[in-house]
Amino acid sequence: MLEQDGGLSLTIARIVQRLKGSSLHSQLERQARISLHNPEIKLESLKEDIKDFLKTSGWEKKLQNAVYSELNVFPSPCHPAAPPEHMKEPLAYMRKAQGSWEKRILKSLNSMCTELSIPLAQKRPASEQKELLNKWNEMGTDEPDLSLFRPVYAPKDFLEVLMNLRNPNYENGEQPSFRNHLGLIQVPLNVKDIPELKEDFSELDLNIGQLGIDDSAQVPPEFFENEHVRIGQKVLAEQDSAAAQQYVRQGCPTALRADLWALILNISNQPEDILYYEQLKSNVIQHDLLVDSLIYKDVKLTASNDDYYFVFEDYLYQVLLCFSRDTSVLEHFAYSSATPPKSYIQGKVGIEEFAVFYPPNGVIPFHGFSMYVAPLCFLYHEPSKLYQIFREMYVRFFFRLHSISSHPSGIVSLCLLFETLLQTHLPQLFYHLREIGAQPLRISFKWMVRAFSGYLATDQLLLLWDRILGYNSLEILAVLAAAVFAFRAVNLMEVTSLAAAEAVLADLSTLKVMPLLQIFLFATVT
Amino acid sequence: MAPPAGRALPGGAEAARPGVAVIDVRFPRGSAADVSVHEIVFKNFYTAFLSVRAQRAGPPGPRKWVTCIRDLRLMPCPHTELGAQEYFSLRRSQMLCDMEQVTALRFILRQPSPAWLHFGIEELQLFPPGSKTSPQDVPSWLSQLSPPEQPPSLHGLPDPEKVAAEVQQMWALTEVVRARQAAARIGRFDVDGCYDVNLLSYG
Repeated sequence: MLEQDGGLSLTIARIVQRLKGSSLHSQLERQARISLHNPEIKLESLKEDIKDFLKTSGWEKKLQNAVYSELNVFPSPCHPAAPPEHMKEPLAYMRKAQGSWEKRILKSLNSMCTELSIPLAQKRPASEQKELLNKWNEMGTDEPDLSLFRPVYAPKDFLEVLMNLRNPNYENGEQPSFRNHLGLIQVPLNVKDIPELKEDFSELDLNIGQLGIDDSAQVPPEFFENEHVRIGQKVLAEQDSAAAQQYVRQGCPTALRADLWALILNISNQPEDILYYEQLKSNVIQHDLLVDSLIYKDVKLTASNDDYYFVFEDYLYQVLLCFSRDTSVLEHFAYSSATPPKSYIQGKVGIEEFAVFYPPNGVIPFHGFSMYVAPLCFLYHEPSKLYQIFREMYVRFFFRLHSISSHPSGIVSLCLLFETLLQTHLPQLFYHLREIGAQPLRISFKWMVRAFSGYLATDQLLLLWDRILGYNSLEILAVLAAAVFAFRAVNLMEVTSLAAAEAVLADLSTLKVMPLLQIFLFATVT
Repeated sequence: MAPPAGRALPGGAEAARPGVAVIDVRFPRGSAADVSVHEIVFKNFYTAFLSVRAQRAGPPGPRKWVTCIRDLRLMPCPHTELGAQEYFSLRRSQMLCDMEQVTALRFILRQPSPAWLHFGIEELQLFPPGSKTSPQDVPSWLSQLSPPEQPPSLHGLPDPEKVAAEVQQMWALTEVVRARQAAARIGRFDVDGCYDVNLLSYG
């Protein structure tokens, strides 16, 4: 660990290095040069005058937002002696487990390739390219034969891997002891307890107004809603990322949500961003990837069957196919425990000049992946903006839900947090479910891996994702999962099998997320 | 440097893990230059608390051990993984005693939790003062950092002058880190227009 001063300097140096050469940097330079024509800029006090100009014209705010974004996304810098893999994942056995899991996925994809005799990637013939370009906006009408394709893995396969995760230096004895966890996760990660969560999520307290509770029909809007909307409009006018992130902790008004999320994620949809999206689109047209078929299959199996999301089917293809070709996503592997799969073109195995990543963005989609995009379609209708929002959400949050790491927002920590909360605050329920062979994590795992997308009603889901953005953490998913069990505890105590427990928790579409969270965190008698 | 030695408790019925280990580092005697320790860098492996004692050259007779680091907490909770495999730096400013003319260092490691099978520290490095590589070419804007205009309130924040001095050194470090990272291909994912991939490779 670096002491405070060293860490701060390293962070500053790193952020400057990342912003240098970015489009914001060239825009600032351009603005500074243009400002020289202003009469207020005097040669004697050139530096100060330009700085003042940048402040008043709002460019300093844009720079602040960019710095804030970097601070949020990248973890604190590692010790200089630490190798790069330490920033990805500090614990050696977790890195190893992630490596083995990835190898399994690669083998599965390779065997699918060999069985179906389809290459992983090939150039599309010109006629096919033209055809695809013509029906770009209605790819959903296509009905390719996908019966032979199967998803590379499903969440329950991943759960099996997590259940078998063991620290070789931990006393994993057969005899029951305080060291053996009663749940499915057996690694001793540090998770928060309710007093710590209460402090972290203090804006969700009972005496603070929330959208999702205090904007219901029975509550007059003068009490909270009107003022909250007014503040939201002010935050948008100021274009301040940090203020927006603080604001959305109490929920986003529907009309302002799209702009507030874009502000927090620092997405401005500049002409060069639109151009970049068009470039990705042309990459999709030119090269055909096996991963495309996996995406098609996933969308057809999940989003197309969902009452809320089937209308967005075409958007989902337009986003996910481009996402697979986006090499800028490779940057997130610096702080993710995962590693992008590698291959060699034209069979030139081992020759580095012919080494490529596959898919170009290094992310192999799994069953349910398209559900990360679907809720965003309610907010953004312009494909390039929708794309950028999804990409930023993925490299900030969603990647942690399907890789093995010790990060507090990683899926392993979320699972352990869920099990620990349930065990501590509903011990009778936990014991009962365990006795009947219905370990609670078996039911809640799929909710957390998908960030509850497809399980909650859309308006409730968006209120939940407001808080994910507001707190820059996925821990709220584990808290909500425990709160759902607490809510249905009475029914669950009466079931006698895993299937019956699943049935009690099969339909979450009527749940109201914020009251559940508030009661579980702040109103449960401990 | 002797490997970590566990201290056995006398009269124990079963092979209880004592939870205390000691690493001794002895510097060769009679070295021409006096050994001064300015920084200690190591990688933790499940040690919860660290104390460091130093033995200094001095008047002839039995040498005393002086505590230079007392009970530094490496793992916030000894039973859980946080901090268990982290890298740590101990600077001269954190040390409680003079670190000139050191003849030996003793690292006392404590891990009170019975949950772990082994604990220790790895990749131990000791640096004398002034041994850090000098910063490489620092860009001109860094050396011309203007002092801030009256900042509103620096209560609780580090001194800006000190931070500015540190940034120069850290810049050199980030250059090193950047050189180590593999350069990702920006934009193009194909090689000369070709992206015919047949199988993924392992490892």
